[in-house]
Amino acid sequence: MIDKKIETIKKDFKNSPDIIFRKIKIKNKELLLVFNASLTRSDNINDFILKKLTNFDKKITRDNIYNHLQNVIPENILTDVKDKNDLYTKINSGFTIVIFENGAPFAIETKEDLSRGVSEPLTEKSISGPKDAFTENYQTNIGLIRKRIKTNNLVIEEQTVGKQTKTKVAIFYMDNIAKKSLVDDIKNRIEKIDIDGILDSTYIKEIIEDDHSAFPTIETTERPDNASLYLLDGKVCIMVENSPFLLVIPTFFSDLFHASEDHYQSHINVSFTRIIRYIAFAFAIFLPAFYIAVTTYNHETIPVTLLTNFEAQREGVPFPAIVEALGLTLVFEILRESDIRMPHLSGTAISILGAIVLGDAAVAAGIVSPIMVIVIALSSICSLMFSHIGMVNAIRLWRIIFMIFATLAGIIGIFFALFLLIAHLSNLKSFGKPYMYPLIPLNKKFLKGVIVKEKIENDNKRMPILTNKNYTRSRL
Amino acid sequence: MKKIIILFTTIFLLSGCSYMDLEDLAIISAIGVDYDNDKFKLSAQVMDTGQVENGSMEEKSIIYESEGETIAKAIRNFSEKYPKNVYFGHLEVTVLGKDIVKNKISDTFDYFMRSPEVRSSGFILISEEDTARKILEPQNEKPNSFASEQLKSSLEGATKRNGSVNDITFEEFLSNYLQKGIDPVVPLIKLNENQSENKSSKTTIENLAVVKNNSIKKSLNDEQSIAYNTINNKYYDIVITPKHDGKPFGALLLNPKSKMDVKIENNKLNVNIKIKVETKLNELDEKIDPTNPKIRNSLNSEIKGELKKYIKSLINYCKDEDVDVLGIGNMIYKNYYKDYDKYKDKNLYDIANFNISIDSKMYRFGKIRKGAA
Amino acid sequence: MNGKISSGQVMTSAVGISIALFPGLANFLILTTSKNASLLSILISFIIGFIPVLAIIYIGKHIKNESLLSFLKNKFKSFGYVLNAFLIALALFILFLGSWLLFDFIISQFLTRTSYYLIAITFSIIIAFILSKEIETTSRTIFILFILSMIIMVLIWICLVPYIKLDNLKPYIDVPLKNILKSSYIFLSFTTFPLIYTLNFKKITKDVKNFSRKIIVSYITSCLILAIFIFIIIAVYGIDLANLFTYPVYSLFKKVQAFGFIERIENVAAIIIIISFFTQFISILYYIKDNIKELFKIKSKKKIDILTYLLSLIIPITSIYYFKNFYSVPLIEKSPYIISTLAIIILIIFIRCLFIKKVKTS
Repeated sequence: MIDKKIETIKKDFKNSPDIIFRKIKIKNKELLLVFNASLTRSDNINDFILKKLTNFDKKITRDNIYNHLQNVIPENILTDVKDKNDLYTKINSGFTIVIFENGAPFAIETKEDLSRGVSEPLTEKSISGPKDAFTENYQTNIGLIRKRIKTNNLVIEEQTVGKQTKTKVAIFYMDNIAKKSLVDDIKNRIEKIDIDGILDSTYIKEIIEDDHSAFPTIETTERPDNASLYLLDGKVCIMVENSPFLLVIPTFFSDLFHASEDHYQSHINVSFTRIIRYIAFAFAIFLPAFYIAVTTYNHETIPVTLLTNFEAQREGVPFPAIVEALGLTLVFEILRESDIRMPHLSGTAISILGAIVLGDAAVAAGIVSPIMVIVIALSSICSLMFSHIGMVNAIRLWRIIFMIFATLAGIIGIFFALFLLIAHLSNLKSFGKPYMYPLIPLNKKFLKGVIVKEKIENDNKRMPILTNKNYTRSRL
Repeated sequence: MKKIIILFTTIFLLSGCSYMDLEDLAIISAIGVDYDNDKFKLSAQVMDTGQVENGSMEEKSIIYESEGETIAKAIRNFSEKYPKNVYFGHLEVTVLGKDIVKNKISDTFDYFMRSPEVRSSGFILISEEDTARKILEPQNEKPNSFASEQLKSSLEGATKRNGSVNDITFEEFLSNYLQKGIDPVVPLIKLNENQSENKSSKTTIENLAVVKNNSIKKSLNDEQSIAYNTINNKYYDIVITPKHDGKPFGALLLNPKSKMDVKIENNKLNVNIKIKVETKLNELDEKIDPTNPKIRNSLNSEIKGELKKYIKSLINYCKDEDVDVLGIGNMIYKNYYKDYDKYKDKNLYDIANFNISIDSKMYRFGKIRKGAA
Repeated sequence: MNGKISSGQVMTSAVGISIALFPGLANFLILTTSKNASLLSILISFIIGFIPVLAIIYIGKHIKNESLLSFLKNKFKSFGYVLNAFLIALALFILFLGSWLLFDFIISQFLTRTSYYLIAITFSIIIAFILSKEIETTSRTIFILFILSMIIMVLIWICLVPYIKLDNLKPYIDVPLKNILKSSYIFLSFTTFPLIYTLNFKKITKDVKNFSRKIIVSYITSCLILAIFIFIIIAVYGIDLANLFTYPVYSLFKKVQAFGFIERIENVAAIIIIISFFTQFISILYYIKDNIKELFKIKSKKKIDILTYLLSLIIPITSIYYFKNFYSVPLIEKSPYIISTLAIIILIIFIRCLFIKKVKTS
């Protein structure tokens, strides 16, 4: 009987070599253990099953062993197996199935931890503050958040998405703060996902977001302290198995100007840095277009000494300004991409080569003018100031749009493109909430809080758009 | 999808129509207008940057010339001779030559005011004896100097420090020209007669001239210009030389705050000029002791007397030449609008009763107390 | 929050509608008609202007959650269609005039060799694109742009204070009374009568009870902005020089010079003028689009989009064609009187509303 079962399971798994069948004989009765060697940890199997069964003295039936194991295994990892599909899912998830001749099989979780340990965040670095980051292990991630928010109000709801990958997706929210309608909306959208596989949280991000735009409407974060802060604000986080990036819903435009450091430094310094970030945003988008407009259409905008300097520098360059600008932008983006791909050891030589090529040689050869190099480099560096990679890419796209409009009509073209940008930003919605909150709809207290960081004592209310239950954050 | 189509179509129009690359521009910083044989002759000083062998940039100044029946035509005629497009967006100095000042001053302004490129904050200079071409020509020793920069900075400096010149922009000139009852003044520029070897300036800006009926009258001399500038609060500090016991001494006048107003009572025209200025002793004979209060008072009253003399000289000039530089007619128009017609054609400086009061406090003597000569 | 805008956004649209036609047209009309007494005429028209504004608000009180067209249909039966046609015709005229002024300003001051049609097509595509989204997007855009232009305006006023010579304002009255009344009528007709088009927003406003208050605030704000500009123009330049300029506000921007490095900002500051035209264009075009949608009962979104694109392309192109070939100064000078036929319509509706009230109470 048991051999027949072995045959069926082997055939269904297409004779995969890592499925192990182990027969155990206890007092003339045979038990079959089926498990996947690459997903299970042999210590667990020994601890939970084999050792507990050595001195078993009652009659060997399925129910006796089941009850005995329920009493002695410390965690509640003993589950029933419902049907054949469930059996296969459980084998693929790292469970060990115990099969009897008579009676329903049951499963014991013996999963191996196949992820790296908790380490420093790779993309959102900060100088002060905690430095742990999410990993690919689902339980560890949940634990990193739970250890920061220790109340019962933190609710986790789990769903499974993906026909072949059967990935677990968890929704985190604070029950006494977040809006129920938002949570229901997110759950509905995730349920409707019908796709082969989910490999990372960005898949879910693209499927459930409202508007597809270059500017990110759903933020991702790698740090559990950030995630806890957002949860306390009333936002909802989505965690996907095997992905170290957490999705945060809803996201507003002003959130993209925050860095994780902002919460760990004094409010005066942070306000100053934030104002610099807004100025950097303006520079990154407007500077190349403004330069093109000033040198080709509106020459009266700059003082005459600067104008003659520009003219002298552009003497020998054969291309018109827009071609130069687009070419330099392209080269800069190629440099940026290749810097990411290059292995760390040979990285420095390549970047020196790129710098020398761009900086000195191209200028001396007369292909580009030095002022254009300065303008494009300054604007690119300003755009790299943002911690969110989606924002950097969005700025790159809009910078090119502004440059094209500036070539068409000079400063008037920049105005038209500005109207387009503002209309585009006002149109975006993040799960039904307007993207440009708190500028529109106007909320003066939070508008001030977004531009200038307030003292912790004054930061005592939550945003009304995110919560309708618990407005007061603190009573200091 | 729509956006992509629009974007692609606009890329093909990437040049735009008013596209003017920097290399095709001739940036004009000073322009001189002359008039000869029924034609306007323009000489434009272009800021050109050329590259010398060692790669550094040097500035040269070139003069473009052209002529035409009107100024607009003359400007278009530039393109017949020269490769670049003239660009007036940074025009700073306009020099009107000796032929213009006879009766063609107002003809020159229409083009510059109408063109949207020209900024109306450029300076005006008038030359009574020389053509504008000679004034703008770069000197032989220094072909790389920009005459316009020097003119502009010496104008501004002289206004603040010398007191006998006044920097007038297009706007101020036109504003005074169009208003009723005031005649505009313009600074005069002339070439220096004998140029020695190492002299670094070949032009002098001196005195002001009054424009009336499209031509200029006799220029104001030093004293009258100083009086004009004091009443109009136009300088920071200047030096005048009153006499004490027959010997001149130097007095510094600082921060003038003057007010002038006009009152008509019982058909009598009274003009009150109140001047409030700080004074400081600059240069003194060794025998005079300014710490003595009596001597200080007499020095003070000498300074006041000198200033009053200047103002009276200005009033006499206006009376003789029948021009209204101080704007008394304008003030009557503004304050007594209904009575303006009565006074429009009279020589106001003849019939007006001037009350001049000068309030000058002298309390600074410089580093040393007594004279050290 | 679907399709609802706040009353603050209505306020910014109303201010834009009022001040848009001033930079190129009404400023020089007022300055040449009533030279130094322009400020006095603005004051007179500000006080008298409350009458049409209050009339419009009174009419607005009878509009309950319906658009202007259905209100007219209910109260006037078939005569309402005639009134509606008049309103649309005058709205088209305002846009006609406004688009010519905008493109003339841009081409003559900035891009002297570009063809008018190119700028017109770019502008109208952008406007149609913005209008084809929901009304919330449009009003939010207008709101943000208006805040931007207010900030620049206030900065420019502060930088221009050193150049003000109060002497230039004298003599205070130098034209006969007839001129003063004429120029105050011009001011009145541009700022108050087009406000009737804001009544169309009442249907989609969230907090309707603040509506009347915001309209009054917007009227006061627009009068204040215009008065301050005209005051600064006369005080800085003097009336004789100011009469020469076609765009006195733009020449004012050229004069700003502060802190030694903020100078030559007139190109960037011209965004104020462009934003005011933009606001008026979008608000009135929204009214026309809504009206035609309801009149011909068009339901599909695609057709409405095509209609928007067509309208916003046709109006500027025809106006450029007309003004280039048949340039007529009388049309520009008589435009205040054409716009004041709106007053007759307001009067008719107002009297009808009085009768409703009387019937109810009696």
